[in-house]
Amino acid sequence: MTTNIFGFAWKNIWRNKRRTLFTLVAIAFGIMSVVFAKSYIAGVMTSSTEAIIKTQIGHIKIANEEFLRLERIMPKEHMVTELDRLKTGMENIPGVETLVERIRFNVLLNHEDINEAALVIGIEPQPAGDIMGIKKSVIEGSYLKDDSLSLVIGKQLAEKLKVGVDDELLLVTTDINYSTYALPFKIVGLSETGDSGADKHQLYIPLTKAREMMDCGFGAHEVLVYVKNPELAIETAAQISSYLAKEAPNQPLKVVPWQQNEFIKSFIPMIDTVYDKILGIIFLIVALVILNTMLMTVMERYHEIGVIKAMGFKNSEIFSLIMAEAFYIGTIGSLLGGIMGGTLAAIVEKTGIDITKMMGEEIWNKLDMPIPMFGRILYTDLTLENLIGSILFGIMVALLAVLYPAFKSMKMKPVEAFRSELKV
Amino acid sequence: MKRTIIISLALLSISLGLRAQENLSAFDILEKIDKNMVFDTAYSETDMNITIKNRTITKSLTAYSQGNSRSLLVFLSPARDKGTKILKIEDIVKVYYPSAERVMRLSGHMLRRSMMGSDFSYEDMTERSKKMREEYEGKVLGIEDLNGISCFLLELTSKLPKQTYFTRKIWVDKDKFIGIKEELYAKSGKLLKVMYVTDIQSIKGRSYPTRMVMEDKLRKNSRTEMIIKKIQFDIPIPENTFSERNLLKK
Repeated sequence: MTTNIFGFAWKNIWRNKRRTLFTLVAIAFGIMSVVFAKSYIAGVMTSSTEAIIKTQIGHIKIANEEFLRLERIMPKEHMVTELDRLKTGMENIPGVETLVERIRFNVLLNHEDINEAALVIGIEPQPAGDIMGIKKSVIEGSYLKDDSLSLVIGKQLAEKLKVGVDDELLLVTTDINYSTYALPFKIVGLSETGDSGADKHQLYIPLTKAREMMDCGFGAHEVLVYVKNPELAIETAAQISSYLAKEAPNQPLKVVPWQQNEFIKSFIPMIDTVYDKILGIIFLIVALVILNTMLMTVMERYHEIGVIKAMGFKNSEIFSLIMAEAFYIGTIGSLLGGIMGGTLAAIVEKTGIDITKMMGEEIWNKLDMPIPMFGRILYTDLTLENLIGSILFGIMVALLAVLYPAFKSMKMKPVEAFRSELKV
Repeated sequence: MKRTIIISLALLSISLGLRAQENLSAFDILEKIDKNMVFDTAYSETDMNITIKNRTITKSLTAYSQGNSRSLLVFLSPARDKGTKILKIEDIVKVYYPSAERVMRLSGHMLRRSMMGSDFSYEDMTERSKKMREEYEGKVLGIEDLNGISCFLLELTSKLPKQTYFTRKIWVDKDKFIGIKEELYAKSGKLLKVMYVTDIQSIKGRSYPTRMVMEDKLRKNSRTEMIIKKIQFDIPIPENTFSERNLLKK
């Protein structure tokens, strides 16, 4: 009997080709949107996490406990010290690829009669230039070549100071012993990262000069560790931690893998909730579209259902029939949608979308984002889980949609169905 | 009856006498302070003890000044600060950094920044009573005892909305006419800084504050004590002392 019902349902849906096709298209486009939206958001999450790791925190960050506790005010005196000795040891730990020492402090900049406050980042020109993407961000002049008194400055900051490449800039700061110290630097390059916070407030100088200004010997505020396998960052961090506990027992140091980084931990869930809400709305719209079309498909046929009921179809058979039809349409539509959405997402995963073009160069430049959340080109991230989940979602919504009319048809008397005609 | 009249007359005269002094306006009092503090020239040797949390750093400096408008500070220690000079002429501040061998002119909001890591700002060092009279409205709130010293309590409110210290409360020693405590507030009413004098010495018949503390309330656990170890008034100071060329001279 059941086979009969399924066969009957299959025949039934092709009886009115136009109606079925319309329903299929609605479901397919709905599911396509869901698949694409989910992979787009996954892409945003992956690329922002990668961008934060690359430019800000490394896979593992080593710093003084006090520095991390008061990071927002950057207490310059709390450093990782004796790095001349500790660095080689850490580099030899398996899994570690590159170490980047970083010093950060506030300075007063002066050029002729213009003063500006800014944030200085002291790094070894290499490997930091390549690994952190600073070298790539230089749009005018050149990147730091050596340890001379040279600097790369954010383009917007340079504009505020009315300086350009080859101009001299005086940097004044308070060192770790609260003495005031100043050095004149030559601007060798202007940088633009797309992170307007950095472009307006930051400049880069060689680590040795930063150390001279801070008067801190072989100290650094942070050591960023880039590892071979990011998935193993926690294990590598544990090894570094035990090495430091043995070699530098007097220093209160913290070794933080990116998975435990406060920034990632607070930032990602925040973004996540925003995107969850957007996704929720997309799901709701898609569900409503499917619901509406499916509902129409059944409601239109009350008259017809009355006829087969009068012919002696049992209530359970009518229920199964409607559900089976919904299952067919839902499955075909969702599979189609899955294929369409999956293909689209797979293409964008390769080619990317230039979001600056989407929102316009001007708006992009005005965005004052605290971190380089994502680059200018965004790539989607398609997973099998997303694909299967979205298809199942489509089938489920289709089934749920006909639940109500299916129940209603069971209760209906054939006489009423004849009389009601198309009035529902 | 007669007795009552005499007593009341006596009371009246006393209160009149008091009134005479109380009638001083806030600016009269400020002017009197000026008269006490003003000198043709002065030379001083000062220690600045900057305490941040549990750490104290001492910076020593010599200061030359002429009247109210020109001064030059030369830092002697610690080693990294040695040779740093701050020249002030009227409202212009120029700083010479020996490590960079450059002179920087400070202007605008940069004057509000900490001077050499202390709780004093450059602005705190350059403020003069003339500015107070021009930019503030003052009133005498009354007479208050501060650590056993009878003081006028003045309140100055800025006429300019952008003033760093919108309101200032000043306690002035009634007898010596020295400001012994000052509270500086932002427009929001937030306390920004507190300055108090901890020692006053008599130098050539003049009462002069020789120890004072400034606390920047926006910095946590921070205070700067200024101790004038030696001060000489009205000694000859070469005219070119207060020139930019002199700043560059080692």
